[in-house]
Amino acid sequence: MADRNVNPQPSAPAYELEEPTLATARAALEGFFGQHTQDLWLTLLFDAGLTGAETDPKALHRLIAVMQVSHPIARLCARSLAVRVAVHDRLVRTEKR
Amino acid sequence: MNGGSREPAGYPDRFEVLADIDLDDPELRRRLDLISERTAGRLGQPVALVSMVLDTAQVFPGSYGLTGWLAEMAGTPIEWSFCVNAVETGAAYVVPDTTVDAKQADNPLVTVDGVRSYAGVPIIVDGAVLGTHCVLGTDAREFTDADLAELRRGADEISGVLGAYRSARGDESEG
Repeated sequence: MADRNVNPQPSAPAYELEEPTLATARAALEGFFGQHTQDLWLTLLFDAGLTGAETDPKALHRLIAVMQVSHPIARLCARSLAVRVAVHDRLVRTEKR
Repeated sequence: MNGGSREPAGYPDRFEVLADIDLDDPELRRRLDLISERTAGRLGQPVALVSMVLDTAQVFPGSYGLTGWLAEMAGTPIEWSFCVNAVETGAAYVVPDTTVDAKQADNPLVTVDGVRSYAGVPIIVDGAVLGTHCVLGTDAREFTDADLAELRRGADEISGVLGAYRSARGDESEG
């Protein structure tokens, strides 16, 4: 399963997935923490050494790493985000090259 | 297929239960792999999974037969998940032929990876639907009642493993 998929045709992108960003992470947290998200968000950003305005993939990787040792529910969010980042990097970004 | 922010089903209970389980525990994964292997063999399908459905992705703490990127990632974005349908309804989800299924025909797991059939049943721990035990096939297939019963037996065993594991971890943290 998935062996067929190692080199998808570049002319016909088959995997559609938006590139995860810091905004994706925040939205995921808001799904759980609602109005209480802001305090957690600021703490996570501080621990990751981020301002929240970063747009590079490395910033999201740093945030995910901090989330993985944070609140248990945030850890679940981090795990989901990590899958989405990895799949995007492995499949979608590769297709666009 | 973009977005990925489906309403978490059953929050907070099922996510609180999920948060108590270390899905990376090697012994847990070994046991879930063994159950998956047995299910794949009994149903004669190439792939069987233990899929835990999170908020924006599903992950596979147990599996048999995965190859390529699916084996490498051990998960997919939630948009591509068959299993989320069983989690949302709490009932078995069966797709005998994905290529003619209105909901799945455009799924890249179908169009690119060649998943042609699917059957999954919920895994329930402490009353919370955490994910599914499922099989994937590369050929269309009508799943019988006996097939689903076998899947349910596997899912019940997985529920027992996860429940005992969760209790043991709880005892450890309290001790």
